[in-house]
Amino acid sequence: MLDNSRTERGLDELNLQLQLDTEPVDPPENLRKKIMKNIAERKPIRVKARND
Amino acid sequence: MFEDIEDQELMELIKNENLDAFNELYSRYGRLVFNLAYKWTRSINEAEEVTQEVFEKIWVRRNTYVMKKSKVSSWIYKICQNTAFDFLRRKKKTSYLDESQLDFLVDDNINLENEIEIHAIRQLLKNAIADLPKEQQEIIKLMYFEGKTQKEIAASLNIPLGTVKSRVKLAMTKLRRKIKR
Repeated sequence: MLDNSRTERGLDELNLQLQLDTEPVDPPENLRKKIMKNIAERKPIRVKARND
Repeated sequence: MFEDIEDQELMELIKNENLDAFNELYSRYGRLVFNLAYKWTRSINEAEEVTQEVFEKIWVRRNTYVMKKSKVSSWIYKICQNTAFDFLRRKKKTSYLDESQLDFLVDDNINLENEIEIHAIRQLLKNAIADLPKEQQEIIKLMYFEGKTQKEIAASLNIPLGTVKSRVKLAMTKLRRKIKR
């Protein structure tokens, strides 16, 4: 069974979509990949401190 | 991994540069941001550009999010609204938007903070979904409670994408009518 917060999030998204007065559109499939790639490139690489 | 944690906890992880948490944030808000952007730009390509910009801003400004000040959804909505507005201004595309759409962009009509109102709408929607025909109910639940895309739903139910879209359209019309009453 789905937990409450997931259901509530879904209801909130649905409510907002209804208020937009447009039918929902799927985002392009590669959009997540593009965004994550951009973010990963922005993320500074953490270098572990050396003990020596 | 992060599916069941609250938004605010997710933001704390994102502040610590956790990319998996950021990926989960996209799962929660990516479609909504894209649909808001699509509503305002009326173009799939431009909605994609705005969505990318919004998520980049979320990442860059992650440390400016203050838990006590607003809900994550309101914070993201505001970023989306400002980004879309700047985008449209930049592209000088406001000419084809009518007044009411510009009002929608500029004014903060959508209330994401009033808990009593939100609770009442959730209950209203739950009841309205329960009143839908079974095949429409199923699709709405898969979309909004399980985060599936219409294409994924078509594949999992083994029905044409067009059928999914028409059921979504019918369901949305009925739900819209019920919440406007």
